[in-house]
Amino acid sequence: MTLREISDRLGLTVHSGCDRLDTEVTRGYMSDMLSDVMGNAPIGSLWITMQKHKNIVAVAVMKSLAGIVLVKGRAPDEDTVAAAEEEGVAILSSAQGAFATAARLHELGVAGD
Amino acid sequence: MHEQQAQHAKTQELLFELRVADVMRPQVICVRPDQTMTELRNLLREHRISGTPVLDGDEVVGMITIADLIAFLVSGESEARIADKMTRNPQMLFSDQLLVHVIRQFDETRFGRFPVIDPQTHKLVGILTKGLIIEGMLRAMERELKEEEIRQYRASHIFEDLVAEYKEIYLTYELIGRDFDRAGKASTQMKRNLKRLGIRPDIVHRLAVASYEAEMNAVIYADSGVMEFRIAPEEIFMRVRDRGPGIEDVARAMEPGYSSAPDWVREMGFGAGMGIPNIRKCADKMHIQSTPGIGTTVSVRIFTGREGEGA
Amino acid sequence: MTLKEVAEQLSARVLAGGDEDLAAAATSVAAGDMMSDVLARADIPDVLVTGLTTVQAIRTASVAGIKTVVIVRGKPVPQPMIDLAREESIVLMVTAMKLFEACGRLWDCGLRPRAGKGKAPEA
Repeated sequence: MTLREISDRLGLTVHSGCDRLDTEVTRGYMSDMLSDVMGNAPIGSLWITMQKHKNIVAVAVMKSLAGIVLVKGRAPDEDTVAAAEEEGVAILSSAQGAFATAARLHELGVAGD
Repeated sequence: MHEQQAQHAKTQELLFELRVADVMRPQVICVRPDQTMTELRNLLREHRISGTPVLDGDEVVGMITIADLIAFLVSGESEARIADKMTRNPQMLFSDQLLVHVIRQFDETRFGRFPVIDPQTHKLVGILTKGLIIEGMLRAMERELKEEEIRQYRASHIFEDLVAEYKEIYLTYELIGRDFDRAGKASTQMKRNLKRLGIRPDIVHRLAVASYEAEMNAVIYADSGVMEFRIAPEEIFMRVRDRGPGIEDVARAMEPGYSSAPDWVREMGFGAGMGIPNIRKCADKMHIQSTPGIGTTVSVRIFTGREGEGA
Repeated sequence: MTLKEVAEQLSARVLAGGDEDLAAAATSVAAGDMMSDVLARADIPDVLVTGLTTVQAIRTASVAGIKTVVIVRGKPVPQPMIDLAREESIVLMVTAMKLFEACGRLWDCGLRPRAGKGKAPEA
Protein backbone atom coordinates (compact mmCIF):
# COMPACT_ATOMS: atom_id res chain seq x y z
CA MET A 1 0.00 0.00 0.00
CA THR A 2 1.07 3.61 -0.46
CA LEU A 3 2.14 6.13 2.13
CA ARG A 4 -1.01 8.05 1.34
CA GLU A 5 -3.23 5.08 2.11
CA ILE A 6 -1.37 4.41 5.32
CA SER A 7 -1.61 8.05 6.28
CA ASP A 8 -5.36 8.07 5.65
CA ARG A 9 -6.07 4.76 7.37
CA LEU A 10 -4.01 5.64 10.45
CA GLY A 11 -4.88 9.32 10.59
CA LEU A 12 -1.28 10.46 10.36
CA THR A 13 -0.17 14.07 10.01
CA VAL A 14 2.07 14.89 7.05
CA HIS A 15 4.95 17.26 7.85
CA SER A 16 7.04 17.04 4.70
CA GLY A 17 7.24 15.35 1.32
CA CYS A 18 3.57 15.58 0.34
CA ASP A 19 4.68 14.83 -3.18
CA ARG A 20 6.11 11.50 -2.02
CA LEU A 21 2.93 10.00 -0.70
CA ASP A 22 2.50 7.63 -3.63
CA THR A 23 5.54 5.69 -2.50
CA GLU A 24 4.82 1.99 -1.99
CA VAL A 25 5.37 0.65 1.50
CA THR A 26 5.92 -3.06 2.09
CA ARG A 27 8.27 -3.18 5.06
CA GLY A 28 8.52 -1.36 8.33
CA TYR A 29 11.44 -0.82 10.69
CA MET A 30 11.35 0.60 14.18
CA SER A 31 14.41 1.95 15.97
CA ASP A 32 15.63 5.10 17.69
CA MET A 33 19.31 4.44 17.18
CA LEU A 34 20.63 5.92 13.97
CA SER A 35 23.55 3.50 13.80
CA ASP A 36 21.11 0.61 14.01
CA VAL A 37 18.90 1.99 11.22
CA MET A 38 21.96 2.58 9.05
CA GLY A 39 23.14 -0.94 9.64
CA ASN A 40 19.93 -2.95 9.68
CA ALA A 41 16.91 -1.20 8.21
CA PRO A 42 15.76 -2.79 4.94
CA ILE A 43 16.21 -0.48 1.94
CA GLY A 44 12.96 1.25 1.15
CA SER A 45 11.26 0.41 4.43
CA LEU A 46 9.09 2.79 6.44
CA TRP A 47 10.98 3.97 9.52
CA ILE A 48 9.15 4.41 12.81
CA THR A 49 10.97 6.43 15.45
CA MET A 50 10.74 9.14 18.08
CA GLN A 51 13.85 10.95 16.87
CA LYS A 52 12.98 14.27 15.30
CA HIS A 53 16.34 15.95 14.85
CA LYS A 54 17.86 16.78 11.51
CA ASN A 55 20.08 13.69 11.24
CA ILE A 56 17.09 11.45 10.57
CA VAL A 57 16.80 12.96 7.09
CA ALA A 58 20.31 11.95 6.05
CA VAL A 59 19.66 8.42 7.29
CA ALA A 60 16.40 8.24 5.31
CA VAL A 61 18.18 9.38 2.17
CA MET A 62 21.06 6.95 2.56
CA LYS A 63 18.75 3.97 3.02
CA SER A 64 16.20 5.19 0.47
CA LEU A 65 13.54 4.78 3.12
CA ALA A 66 9.89 5.07 2.09
CA GLY A 67 9.46 7.68 4.77
CA ILE A 68 9.65 8.40 8.47
CA VAL A 69 6.78 8.07 10.95
CA LEU A 70 7.33 9.97 14.19
CA VAL A 71 5.44 8.63 17.17
CA LYS A 72 3.58 10.15 20.13
CA GLY A 73 2.44 13.12 18.08
CA ARG A 74 5.94 14.43 17.75
CA ALA A 75 6.64 16.98 15.07
CA PRO A 76 10.01 17.22 13.35
CA ASP A 77 12.24 20.18 14.26
CA GLU A 78 12.16 23.15 11.88
CA ASP A 79 15.54 22.38 10.42
CA THR A 80 14.50 18.76 10.02
CA VAL A 81 11.51 19.78 7.91
CA ALA A 82 13.69 22.05 5.78
CA ALA A 83 16.21 19.28 5.15
CA ALA A 84 13.40 16.80 4.42
CA GLU A 85 11.79 19.05 1.82
CA GLU A 86 15.13 19.63 0.17
CA GLU A 87 15.95 15.91 0.07
CA GLY A 88 12.45 14.76 -0.78
CA VAL A 89 11.85 12.77 2.41
CA ALA A 90 8.31 12.22 3.66
CA ILE A 91 7.92 12.70 7.40
CA LEU A 92 4.58 11.90 9.02
CA SER A 93 3.51 11.62 12.60
CA SER A 94 1.25 9.31 14.53
CA ALA A 95 -0.60 10.46 17.62
CA GLN A 96 -0.01 7.08 19.24
CA GLY A 97 3.08 5.69 20.90
CA ALA A 98 5.67 3.46 19.29
CA PHE A 99 4.10 0.13 20.27
CA ALA A 100 0.61 1.03 19.05
CA THR A 101 1.89 2.64 15.85
CA ALA A 102 3.99 -0.38 14.92
CA ALA A 103 1.09 -2.67 15.80
CA ARG A 104 -1.39 -0.80 13.61
CA LEU A 105 1.01 -0.78 10.67
CA HIS A 106 1.44 -4.50 11.21
CA GLU A 107 -2.36 -4.89 11.13
CA LEU A 108 -2.42 -3.04 7.81
CA GLY A 109 -0.09 -5.65 6.41
CA VAL A 110 3.24 -3.85 6.61
CA ALA A 111 5.79 -6.59 7.19
CA GLY A 112 8.74 -6.69 9.54
CA ASP A 113 11.31 -8.82 7.83
CA MET B 1 4.41 -14.60 60.22
CA HIS B 2 7.68 -16.05 59.07
CA GLU B 3 8.40 -13.11 56.80
CA GLN B 4 8.06 -10.57 59.57
CA GLN B 5 10.33 -12.60 61.80
CA ALA B 6 12.97 -12.71 59.09
CA GLN B 7 12.79 -8.95 58.59
CA HIS B 8 12.98 -8.34 62.30
CA ALA B 9 16.06 -10.54 62.45
CA LYS B 10 17.75 -8.56 59.69
CA THR B 11 17.27 -5.26 61.47
CA GLN B 12 18.39 -6.81 64.74
CA GLU B 13 21.56 -8.03 63.04
CA LEU B 14 22.40 -4.52 61.93
CA LEU B 15 21.67 -3.06 65.32
CA PHE B 16 24.16 -5.51 66.82
CA GLU B 17 26.77 -4.74 64.16
CA LEU B 18 26.64 -0.99 63.99
CA ARG B 19 28.20 1.22 66.62
CA VAL B 20 27.60 4.84 67.46
CA ALA B 21 30.86 5.81 65.74
CA ASP B 22 29.57 4.27 62.49
CA VAL B 23 26.53 6.51 62.28
CA MET B 24 27.20 9.66 64.30
CA ARG B 25 27.97 13.05 62.81
CA PRO B 26 31.60 13.72 63.71
CA GLN B 27 31.77 17.45 63.10
CA VAL B 28 29.84 18.99 65.88
CA ILE B 29 28.75 22.56 66.14
CA CYS B 30 29.10 23.64 69.75
CA VAL B 31 28.46 26.62 71.92
CA ARG B 32 30.00 27.90 75.15
CA PRO B 33 28.09 28.52 78.37
CA ASP B 34 28.89 32.24 78.32
CA GLN B 35 27.42 32.77 74.85
CA THR B 36 24.01 34.35 74.49
CA MET B 37 20.68 32.90 73.43
CA THR B 38 20.69 35.30 70.49
CA GLU B 39 23.96 33.84 69.30
CA LEU B 40 22.43 30.41 69.72
CA ARG B 41 19.41 31.33 67.62
CA ASN B 42 21.60 32.55 64.77
CA LEU B 43 23.75 29.46 64.97
CA LEU B 44 20.82 27.03 64.88
CA ARG B 45 19.31 28.85 61.94
CA GLU B 46 22.55 29.17 59.99
CA HIS B 47 23.42 25.50 60.31
CA ARG B 48 19.85 24.24 60.15
CA ILE B 49 20.24 22.18 63.32
CA SER B 50 17.97 21.81 66.27
CA GLY B 51 20.38 21.57 69.15
CA THR B 52 24.02 21.64 70.21
CA PRO B 53 26.23 20.48 73.06
CA VAL B 54 27.60 23.15 75.37
CA LEU B 55 31.33 22.91 75.88
CA ASP B 56 33.35 24.51 78.64
CA GLY B 57 36.87 24.07 77.31
CA ASP B 58 37.00 20.38 76.51
CA GLU B 59 34.22 19.28 78.77
CA VAL B 60 30.61 18.76 77.80
CA VAL B 61 28.64 20.61 80.44
CA GLY B 62 25.21 20.78 78.87
CA MET B 63 22.86 20.46 75.90
CA ILE B 64 20.77 23.27 74.51
CA THR B 65 18.03 22.80 71.96
CA ILE B 66 15.46 24.62 69.93
CA ALA B 67 12.91 23.79 72.62
CA ASP B 68 15.01 25.75 75.12
CA LEU B 69 15.28 28.61 72.63
CA ILE B 70 11.53 28.73 72.16
CA ALA B 71 10.95 28.74 75.89
CA PHE B 72 13.36 31.65 76.21
CA LEU B 73 11.73 33.62 73.36
CA VAL B 74 8.29 33.05 74.83
CA SER B 75 9.41 34.15 78.29
CA GLY B 76 9.99 37.66 77.00
CA GLU B 77 13.46 38.06 78.47
CA SER B 78 15.57 40.36 76.36
CA GLU B 79 18.72 38.26 76.60
CA ALA B 80 20.16 35.35 78.55
CA ARG B 81 23.27 33.26 78.74
CA ILE B 82 23.25 29.73 77.42
CA ALA B 83 24.52 28.57 80.80
CA ASP B 84 21.24 29.61 82.38
CA LYS B 85 18.98 27.87 79.88
CA MET B 86 20.80 24.68 79.03
CA THR B 87 20.13 21.21 80.38
CA ARG B 88 23.04 20.46 82.63
CA ASN B 89 24.99 17.19 82.76
CA PRO B 90 23.30 15.71 79.74
CA GLN B 91 23.19 12.02 79.06
CA MET B 92 25.96 11.10 76.71
CA LEU B 93 26.84 8.15 74.55
CA PHE B 94 30.17 6.43 74.01
CA SER B 95 31.36 6.12 70.44
CA ASP B 96 31.89 2.37 70.76
CA GLN B 97 28.39 1.53 71.99
CA LEU B 98 26.24 -0.80 69.88
CA LEU B 99 23.16 0.83 68.37
CA VAL B 100 20.90 -1.78 69.91
CA HIS B 101 21.68 -0.46 73.39
CA VAL B 102 21.61 3.16 72.35
CA ILE B 103 18.12 2.96 70.87
CA ARG B 104 16.68 2.10 74.23
CA GLN B 105 18.09 5.34 75.61
CA PHE B 106 16.37 7.34 72.89
CA ASP B 107 13.13 5.62 73.83
CA GLU B 108 13.45 5.93 77.57
CA THR B 109 14.64 9.51 77.84
CA ARG B 110 12.75 10.94 74.86
CA PHE B 111 15.72 13.17 74.07
CA GLY B 112 16.24 13.73 70.36
CA ARG B 113 20.00 13.98 70.38
CA PHE B 114 22.98 12.89 72.42
CA PRO B 115 26.56 14.12 72.50
CA VAL B 116 29.01 11.32 71.80
CA ILE B 117 32.25 11.06 73.67
CA ASP B 118 35.32 8.93 73.23
CA PRO B 119 35.35 6.09 75.81
CA GLN B 120 38.99 6.69 76.73
CA THR B 121 39.50 10.44 76.58
CA HIS B 122 35.90 11.44 77.30
CA LYS B 123 36.30 14.18 74.71
CA LEU B 124 33.39 15.15 72.47
CA VAL B 125 33.70 13.31 69.14
CA GLY B 126 30.29 13.59 67.62
CA ILE B 127 26.56 13.92 67.95
CA LEU B 128 23.85 11.33 67.38
CA THR B 129 20.21 11.84 66.46
CA LYS B 130 17.46 9.43 65.42
CA GLY B 131 17.77 10.72 61.87
CA LEU B 132 21.43 9.82 61.82
CA ILE B 133 20.67 6.33 63.08
CA ILE B 134 18.18 5.86 60.25
CA GLU B 135 20.61 7.20 57.66
CA GLY B 136 23.34 4.93 58.94
CA MET B 137 21.09 1.89 58.83
CA LEU B 138 19.91 2.71 55.33
CA ARG B 139 23.51 3.00 54.15
CA ALA B 140 24.36 -0.31 55.76
CA MET B 141 21.33 -1.93 54.13
CA GLU B 142 22.37 -0.55 50.76
CA ARG B 143 25.61 -2.42 51.12
CA GLU B 144 24.11 -5.65 52.33
CA LEU B 145 20.57 -6.35 51.29
CA LYS B 146 19.52 -7.30 47.78
CA GLU B 147 16.52 -6.03 45.84
CA GLU B 148 14.57 -9.23 46.41
CA GLU B 149 14.73 -8.80 50.15
CA ILE B 150 14.03 -5.11 49.98
CA ARG B 151 10.91 -5.57 47.92
CA GLN B 152 9.34 -7.54 50.72
CA TYR B 153 10.94 -5.48 53.42
CA ARG B 154 8.69 -3.65 55.76
CA ALA B 155 10.39 -2.02 58.69
CA SER B 156 10.52 -4.10 61.84
CA HIS B 157 9.00 -2.42 64.86
CA ILE B 158 12.27 -0.92 66.05
CA PHE B 159 12.98 0.72 62.72
CA GLU B 160 9.34 1.77 62.44
CA ASP B 161 9.45 3.56 65.77
CA LEU B 162 12.57 5.43 64.71
CA VAL B 163 11.13 6.32 61.35
CA ALA B 164 7.88 7.47 62.88
CA GLU B 165 9.67 10.22 64.79
CA TYR B 166 12.39 11.35 62.47
CA LYS B 167 12.59 14.98 61.54
CA GLU B 168 15.01 14.94 58.65
CA ILE B 169 17.23 12.42 56.93
CA TYR B 170 20.12 13.35 54.67
CA LEU B 171 21.73 11.09 52.10
CA THR B 172 24.52 12.01 49.71
CA TYR B 173 26.01 10.31 46.68
CA GLU B 174 29.09 11.14 44.64
CA LEU B 175 28.69 11.05 40.87
CA ILE B 176 31.54 10.31 38.51
CA GLY B 177 31.37 11.83 35.06
CA ARG B 178 31.27 9.41 32.13
CA ASP B 179 31.07 6.37 34.42
CA PHE B 180 28.22 4.68 32.60
CA ASP B 181 28.49 1.42 34.50
CA ARG B 182 27.59 3.19 37.71
CA ALA B 183 25.30 5.85 36.25
CA GLY B 184 21.88 5.52 37.79
CA LYS B 185 23.03 3.40 40.72
CA ALA B 186 22.52 6.18 43.24
CA SER B 187 18.96 6.76 42.07
CA THR B 188 18.01 3.11 42.22
CA GLN B 189 19.49 2.87 45.71
CA MET B 190 17.57 5.95 46.73
CA LYS B 191 14.38 4.41 45.43
CA ARG B 192 14.95 1.39 47.66
CA ASN B 193 15.55 3.64 50.66
CA LEU B 194 12.32 5.51 50.09
CA LYS B 195 10.42 2.25 49.86
CA ARG B 196 12.00 1.12 53.11
CA LEU B 197 10.86 4.33 54.75
CA GLY B 198 7.32 3.59 53.70
CA ILE B 199 6.91 6.64 51.46
CA ARG B 200 3.86 6.53 49.17
CA PRO B 201 4.57 4.62 45.90
CA ASP B 202 3.55 7.48 43.60
CA ILE B 203 5.94 9.82 45.40
CA VAL B 204 8.71 7.24 45.30
CA HIS B 205 8.14 6.90 41.55
CA ARG B 206 8.31 10.64 40.88
CA LEU B 207 11.41 11.09 43.00
CA ALA B 208 13.11 8.10 41.39
CA VAL B 209 12.48 9.35 37.84
CA ALA B 210 13.56 12.91 38.65
CA SER B 211 16.76 11.84 40.37
CA TYR B 212 17.63 9.28 37.69
CA GLU B 213 17.27 11.86 34.91
CA ALA B 214 19.31 14.39 36.90
CA GLU B 215 21.94 11.77 37.66
CA MET B 216 22.20 10.74 34.00
CA ASN B 217 22.55 14.36 32.90
CA ALA B 218 25.42 14.87 35.32
CA VAL B 219 27.19 11.67 34.30
CA ILE B 220 26.72 12.25 30.59
CA TYR B 221 27.71 15.90 30.39
CA ALA B 222 29.74 16.74 33.49
CA ASP B 223 33.07 15.72 34.96
CA SER B 224 31.72 15.02 38.42
CA GLY B 225 28.81 15.77 40.67
CA VAL B 226 27.13 15.36 44.01
CA MET B 227 23.56 14.23 44.52
CA GLU B 228 21.93 15.10 47.84
CA PHE B 229 18.61 14.12 49.32
CA ARG B 230 16.81 15.58 52.29
CA ILE B 231 13.81 13.57 53.42
CA ALA B 232 11.62 15.55 55.75
CA PRO B 233 8.05 14.92 56.87
CA GLU B 234 6.59 17.53 54.56
CA GLU B 235 8.76 17.17 51.48
CA ILE B 236 11.59 15.37 49.77
CA PHE B 237 14.32 17.63 48.42
CA MET B 238 16.82 16.46 45.83
CA ARG B 239 19.72 18.42 44.45
CA VAL B 240 22.36 17.50 41.90
CA ARG B 241 25.32 19.82 41.64
CA ASP B 242 27.75 19.05 38.87
CA ARG B 243 31.08 20.41 37.70
CA GLY B 244 31.02 20.51 33.95
CA PRO B 245 30.26 22.59 30.87
CA GLY B 246 27.01 23.97 32.26
CA ILE B 247 23.96 24.89 30.21
CA GLU B 248 24.17 27.90 27.90
CA ASP B 249 20.47 28.57 27.66
CA VAL B 250 18.52 27.16 30.59
CA ALA B 251 15.16 28.33 29.28
CA ARG B 252 15.72 26.47 26.05
CA ALA B 253 16.92 23.39 27.87
CA MET B 254 13.52 23.21 29.55
CA GLU B 255 11.77 22.81 26.19
CA PRO B 256 10.85 19.20 25.42
CA GLY B 257 12.86 17.92 22.48
CA TYR B 258 15.62 20.50 22.71
CA SER B 259 18.94 18.80 23.11
CA SER B 260 22.55 19.69 22.55
CA ALA B 261 23.53 16.04 22.86
CA PRO B 262 26.21 14.68 20.56
CA ASP B 263 25.35 11.50 18.65
CA TRP B 264 27.11 9.10 21.01
CA VAL B 265 24.72 10.14 23.77
CA ARG B 266 21.76 9.21 21.59
CA GLU B 267 23.31 5.84 20.94
CA MET B 268 23.22 5.30 24.69
CA GLY B 269 19.49 5.86 24.87
CA PHE B 270 19.57 9.47 26.06
CA GLY B 271 19.92 12.94 24.56
CA ALA B 272 16.42 13.25 23.16
CA GLY B 273 15.91 16.43 25.11
CA MET B 274 13.44 14.92 27.52
CA GLY B 275 15.47 14.67 30.68
CA ILE B 276 14.76 18.12 32.05
CA PRO B 277 11.10 18.14 30.99
CA ASN B 278 10.73 14.76 32.73
CA ILE B 279 12.24 16.16 35.92
CA ARG B 280 9.92 19.12 35.75
CA LYS B 281 6.91 16.87 35.31
CA CYS B 282 7.80 14.86 38.39
CA ALA B 283 8.65 17.77 40.65
CA ASP B 284 6.35 20.04 42.55
CA LYS B 285 9.09 22.64 42.39
CA MET B 286 12.19 22.57 40.21
CA HIS B 287 15.05 25.00 39.94
CA ILE B 288 17.97 24.97 37.53
CA GLN B 289 20.95 27.22 37.89
CA SER B 290 23.91 26.99 35.57
CA THR B 291 27.16 28.79 34.84
CA PRO B 292 28.69 27.84 31.49
CA GLY B 293 32.18 26.50 32.02
CA ILE B 294 31.60 25.83 35.72
CA GLY B 295 28.61 23.58 36.19
CA THR B 296 24.91 23.12 36.79
CA THR B 297 22.70 22.68 39.82
CA VAL B 298 19.30 21.08 39.51
CA SER B 299 17.07 20.98 42.57
CA VAL B 300 13.69 19.39 42.99
CA ARG B 301 11.05 19.43 45.71
CA ILE B 302 8.27 16.90 46.02
CA PHE B 303 5.70 17.63 48.69
CA THR B 304 4.60 14.64 50.64
CA GLY B 305 1.89 16.22 52.72
CA ARG B 306 2.89 14.32 55.80
CA GLU B 307 3.38 17.35 58.00
CA GLY B 308 3.69 16.32 61.60
CA GLU B 309 2.99 12.66 61.09
CA GLY B 310 5.21 9.61 60.66
CA ALA B 311 6.09 8.02 57.32
CA MET C 1 -0.66 -13.62 29.04
CA THR C 2 2.22 -14.71 31.26
CA LEU C 3 5.83 -13.68 30.79
CA LYS C 4 6.57 -17.28 29.94
CA GLU C 5 4.10 -17.03 27.07
CA VAL C 6 5.66 -13.72 25.98
CA ALA C 7 9.01 -15.49 25.75
CA GLU C 8 7.45 -18.31 23.75
CA GLN C 9 5.65 -15.98 21.36
CA LEU C 10 8.84 -14.05 20.70
CA SER C 11 11.00 -17.19 20.64
CA ALA C 12 13.03 -15.40 23.26
CA ARG C 13 15.77 -16.78 25.49
CA VAL C 14 15.34 -15.93 29.16
CA LEU C 15 18.56 -14.53 30.63
CA ALA C 16 17.32 -13.51 34.07
CA GLY C 17 14.24 -14.67 35.91
CA GLY C 18 13.04 -17.94 37.38
CA ASP C 19 9.85 -19.91 36.88
CA GLU C 20 8.03 -17.91 39.53
CA ASP C 21 8.91 -14.61 37.86
CA LEU C 22 7.88 -15.94 34.46
CA ALA C 23 4.46 -16.92 35.77
CA ALA C 24 3.61 -13.24 36.30
CA ALA C 25 1.04 -11.63 34.01
CA ALA C 26 1.88 -9.10 31.33
CA THR C 27 -0.75 -6.85 29.81
CA SER C 28 0.97 -3.60 28.85
CA VAL C 29 3.99 -2.82 26.69
CA ALA C 30 6.32 0.09 26.00
CA ALA C 31 8.65 -0.04 22.99
CA GLY C 32 11.66 2.08 22.10
CA ASP C 33 15.36 2.69 22.52
CA MET C 34 15.34 6.04 24.30
CA MET C 35 15.15 5.77 28.05
CA SER C 36 13.89 9.27 28.77
CA ASP C 37 10.92 8.47 26.58
CA VAL C 38 10.17 5.44 28.71
CA LEU C 39 10.43 7.56 31.85
CA ALA C 40 8.14 10.23 30.44
CA ARG C 41 5.17 7.87 30.54
CA ALA C 42 2.50 8.46 33.13
CA ASP C 43 1.77 4.75 33.48
CA ILE C 44 4.03 1.80 34.27
CA PRO C 45 4.03 -0.90 31.58
CA ASP C 46 4.69 -4.54 32.42
CA VAL C 47 7.14 -5.04 29.58
CA LEU C 48 9.76 -2.85 27.93
CA VAL C 49 10.81 -3.95 24.45
CA THR C 50 14.06 -2.30 23.43
CA GLY C 51 17.30 -2.62 21.53
CA LEU C 52 19.33 -0.80 24.16
CA THR C 53 21.81 -3.31 25.56
CA THR C 54 23.31 -1.38 28.44
CA VAL C 55 22.80 -1.47 32.18
CA GLN C 56 20.84 1.75 31.73
CA ALA C 57 17.95 -0.24 30.29
CA ILE C 58 17.81 -2.20 33.56
CA ARG C 59 18.24 0.91 35.70
CA THR C 60 15.45 2.63 33.78
CA ALA C 61 13.20 -0.38 34.30
CA SER C 62 14.09 -0.36 37.98
CA VAL C 63 13.40 3.35 38.40
CA ALA C 64 10.18 3.17 36.41
CA GLY C 65 8.94 0.01 38.12
CA ILE C 66 8.92 -2.06 34.92
CA LYS C 67 9.33 -5.74 35.68
CA THR C 68 10.46 -7.14 32.32
CA VAL C 69 12.92 -6.08 29.63
CA VAL C 70 12.94 -7.76 26.21
CA ILE C 71 15.98 -7.13 24.04
CA VAL C 72 15.32 -7.28 20.30
CA ARG C 73 17.41 -7.69 17.16
CA GLY C 74 19.18 -10.68 18.69
CA LYS C 75 21.78 -8.35 20.10
CA PRO C 76 24.43 -9.73 22.44
CA VAL C 77 23.52 -8.91 26.02
CA PRO C 78 26.50 -7.94 28.18
CA GLN C 79 26.99 -9.95 31.37
CA PRO C 80 26.83 -6.83 33.61
CA MET C 81 23.34 -6.23 32.27
CA ILE C 82 22.29 -9.80 33.12
CA ASP C 83 23.84 -9.54 36.58
CA LEU C 84 22.09 -6.27 37.30
CA ALA C 85 18.75 -7.67 36.10
CA ARG C 86 19.13 -10.54 38.56
CA GLU C 87 20.07 -8.16 41.35
CA GLU C 88 17.08 -5.94 40.64
CA SER C 89 14.72 -8.91 40.14
CA ILE C 90 13.86 -7.84 36.61
CA VAL C 91 13.06 -10.50 34.04
CA LEU C 92 15.39 -10.16 31.06
CA MET C 93 15.02 -11.96 27.76
CA VAL C 94 16.39 -11.60 24.24
CA THR C 95 14.70 -12.31 20.91
CA ALA C 96 16.07 -12.40 17.38
CA MET C 97 12.94 -10.62 16.18
CA LYS C 98 13.15 -7.00 15.18
CA LEU C 99 11.42 -4.36 17.26
CA PHE C 100 8.70 -3.81 14.65
CA GLU C 101 7.80 -7.51 14.39
CA ALA C 102 8.00 -8.10 18.11
CA CYS C 103 5.41 -5.35 18.63
CA GLY C 104 3.17 -6.83 15.96
CA ARG C 105 3.35 -10.27 17.55
CA LEU C 106 2.63 -9.01 21.05
CA TRP C 107 -0.29 -6.96 19.76
CA ASP C 108 -1.74 -10.05 18.11
CA CYS C 109 -1.50 -11.80 21.47
CA GLY C 110 -3.54 -9.06 23.08
CA LEU C 111 -0.92 -6.89 24.73
CA ARG C 112 -1.64 -3.19 24.61
CA PRO C 113 0.15 0.10 25.37
CA ARG C 114 -1.48 0.29 28.75
CA ALA C 115 -3.53 -2.02 30.91
CA GLY C 116 -7.22 -1.91 30.23
CA LYS C 117 -7.08 -0.44 26.73
CA GLY C 118 -8.42 -2.82 24.10
CA LYS C 119 -9.51 -6.34 24.80
CA ALA C 120 -6.98 -9.04 25.45
CA PRO C 121 -7.90 -12.50 24.21
CA GLU C 122 -8.26 -15.25 26.83
CA ALA C 123 -4.76 -16.46 27.65
